[in-house]
Amino acid sequence: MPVEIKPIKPMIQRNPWVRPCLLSLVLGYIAFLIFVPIGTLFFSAFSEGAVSFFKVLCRWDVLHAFGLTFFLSLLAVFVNAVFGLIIAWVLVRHDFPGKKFLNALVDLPFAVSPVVAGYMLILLFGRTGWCHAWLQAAGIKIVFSLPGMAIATAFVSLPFVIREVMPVLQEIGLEEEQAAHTLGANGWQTFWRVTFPSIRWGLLYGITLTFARAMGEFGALFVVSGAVSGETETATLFVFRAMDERMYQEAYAVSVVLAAVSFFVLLAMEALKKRVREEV
Amino acid sequence: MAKTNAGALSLRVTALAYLAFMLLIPLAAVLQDGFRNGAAGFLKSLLNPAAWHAFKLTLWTAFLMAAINAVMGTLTAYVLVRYSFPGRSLINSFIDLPFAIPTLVTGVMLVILYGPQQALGSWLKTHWGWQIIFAPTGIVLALLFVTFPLVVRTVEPLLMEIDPDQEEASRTLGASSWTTFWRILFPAILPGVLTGTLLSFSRALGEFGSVVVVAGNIPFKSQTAAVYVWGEIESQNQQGASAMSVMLVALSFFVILLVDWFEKRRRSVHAR
Amino acid sequence: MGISVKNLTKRFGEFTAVDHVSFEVKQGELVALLGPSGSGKSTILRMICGLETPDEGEIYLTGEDATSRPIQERGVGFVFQHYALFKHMNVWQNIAFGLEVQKFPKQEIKDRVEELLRLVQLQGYSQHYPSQLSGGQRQRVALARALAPKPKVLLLDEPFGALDAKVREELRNWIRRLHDEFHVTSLFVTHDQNEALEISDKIVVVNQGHVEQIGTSQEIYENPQSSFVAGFIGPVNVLRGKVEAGKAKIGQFEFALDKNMLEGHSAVEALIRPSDVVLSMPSEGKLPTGRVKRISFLGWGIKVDIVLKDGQLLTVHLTKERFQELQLAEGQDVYIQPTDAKVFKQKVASQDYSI
Repeated sequence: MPVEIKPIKPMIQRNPWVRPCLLSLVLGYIAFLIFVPIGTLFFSAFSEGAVSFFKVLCRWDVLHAFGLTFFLSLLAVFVNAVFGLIIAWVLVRHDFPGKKFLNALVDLPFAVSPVVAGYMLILLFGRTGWCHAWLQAAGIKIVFSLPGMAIATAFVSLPFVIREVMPVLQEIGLEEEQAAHTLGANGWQTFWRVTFPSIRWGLLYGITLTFARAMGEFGALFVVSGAVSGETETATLFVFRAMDERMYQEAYAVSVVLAAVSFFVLLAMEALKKRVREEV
Repeated sequence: MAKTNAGALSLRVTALAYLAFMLLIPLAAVLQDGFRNGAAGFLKSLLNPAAWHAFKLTLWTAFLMAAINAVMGTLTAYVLVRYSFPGRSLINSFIDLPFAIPTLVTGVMLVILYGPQQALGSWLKTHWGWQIIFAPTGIVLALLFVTFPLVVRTVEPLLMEIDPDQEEASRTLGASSWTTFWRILFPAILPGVLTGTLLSFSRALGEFGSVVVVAGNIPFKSQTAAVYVWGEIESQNQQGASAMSVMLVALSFFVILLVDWFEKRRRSVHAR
Repeated sequence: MGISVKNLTKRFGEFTAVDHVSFEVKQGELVALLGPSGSGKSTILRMICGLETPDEGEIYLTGEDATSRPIQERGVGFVFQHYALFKHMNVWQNIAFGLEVQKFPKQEIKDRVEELLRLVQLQGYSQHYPSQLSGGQRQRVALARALAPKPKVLLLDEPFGALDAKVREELRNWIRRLHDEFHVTSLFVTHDQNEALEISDKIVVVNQGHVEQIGTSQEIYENPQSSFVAGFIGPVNVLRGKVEAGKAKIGQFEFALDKNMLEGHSAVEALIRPSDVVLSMPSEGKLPTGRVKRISFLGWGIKVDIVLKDGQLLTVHLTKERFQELQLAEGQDVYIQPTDAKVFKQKVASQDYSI
């Protein structure tokens, strides 16, 4: 986990040109890699004036796309927070055969390309899929429909809460929980009153990362959704379609909104990171 | 440790069920489909010229990106930890931006900046013969963006652990900055550099959102493995898609497991 | 009543940490579980609390079989070495926790917390958080918290291990005071024999997973049943020798033998307390002699290191007055008369506890 940065006082260098050289190299690299592209995006989006920018955002298919993105992200956050907490708890506090395997498995979504994630769902729930006949009978449509997109979003953002809560659970240790037990608290009371307050910053940080990932998901949704505008089109899918159909101003405008939102998410991330470090 | 009672057991079952449904079963599905026609069929799909080219392209662009990232990420971490300059906190916060920004938006930004129709893009093409968009250069650039924080954030904590007295001692003994860096700093941060580099390599293998916009879908030129998979899905070629998917997942997951194992070993050696 | 432990056994893999341990703590007693690191005493305590499960044996709390009861139902108060205070709750909330969780009525909670705060003298600190308290204060909060829900039994796991000597002494008094106030059956684990000797009604000495001896402070100090107990409690000299003509012959000394204890053993050792030796100036007579090697000032008395004729070392503690009388100097010869010695069969070198 990243820690608070405190600079060391620079010593008198034998080669005084090292510092400015290194500094310009690194700052230049960061400017070129990160700041210039972002700046260009904002510039291009507003190149035809603020009015035109906001007009794009008021299009009903854009609004619907934002709504869908937001909805899917919240759903993924909720599901992965609840299950993530349970899984983190089980992996840290329990001991059972196969625990190591499960622990490694949690990293799977990091190893799976988003396209492949979407594809896996098609293999399971698509026309020739494993579960198809069963789903058809129940009248449930997963692929090219909201449920599939929800599952895909949850898949790609699954590990974050687990990976952020586990080290915190590890750090705070068992003693407070044991003390609560000796004072008569049952499992649930102990979790809510003793454990949860200690892990909430780690949990929040994990949730923030989950949200960011879910909001930005594209590849899996691209494969799984069919990208039907107004129905199964998220913000990212809209941007892609807009680029494809050369509706550049529309694409840039929605991209800017996504970038802006992720910027705020980033601020939340950094603030929470500090809190997590302080707690542990 | 928690005794095995009803409550603990139900938690365990819930955890297992969720992981099985979300991860194991989809993984099994793609594994089964990839080997539908046996190992022979699997290999045949992979060795198909377009697939093979895509795979090679993915590997070398990821590799190049990882190499650049290793160097620049380490230098960035060094500058952030050891130097103090105006705007340091701000820049430090922005390092994580690529983690927050949708990869698709990354692609869009790069296209705006370097697209052949754009000022910068056409200038680069005419004066240097460089094509960024729809070419491997663009791919490497996109990968550098999305994986930027990885090396920086794994090297940072290691740098901070190093006792500054060690560097001062080295200087008093007459060592130059470079020698000090190589012999004192570098061995200490090497595990972090390795971890971060491997993680960015693994991440790059499956990168889609930024790459598909920046590089497009031109087989044999700028089509990466992930984009190839998408192409196969679109053209309903399941065997091709599955085989490449399995290959990508296997490779990425292997690298991640390597990193996990490496980290575990390092931590147990570290724990004095 | 109180606590009763029978044949308690716990193994960790190949290692037997606790080996068929049995003892009793009477209702209202304050008993110390004393032993060196690794003796299994903490494991015993944790099994009584329910934090570990015994492989064999039974645990009875206030007469009821608690062996397979979960922690919450045992009514046991537990004080951890590192306090385990709830970091994100203040002092009041910490102490009230057990009462709230066990659904005591609101007014009673308020009264009880205030009573305990008064008892541990932390009345002004109810809104403080653990991080704002000193180590001694934290441990008082931990004590108050454990006592709040009126436990049947109080267990303390090296409660002062994490504190420095001065604070430890103060807290020993706190424990005694709280015990006198509430008369809760209490068992505490310690490796500090001074602590055990000073505040407990009874001591259970544990070594390598089994009970060596149970008795009051005086019994254990004056009548150790094994060389381990003799060596572990209080300072002691270990002199080696052998059995000759029915007596233990150790250098120039001769001690009576307890035939039953030393049946078949020829190598013996005598354990002599430094305060159980009378020194006098050599004169006419045939008392054993030794040469004074070193004299050290210990604050409350004088320590005299003597080399015996056979080369073994004997440490003697003298009061300042006695030392003045003798006017001893380094290099001098003295007469030595041990007034009390415990003779045991000779121990293996690794278990040597002499000074």
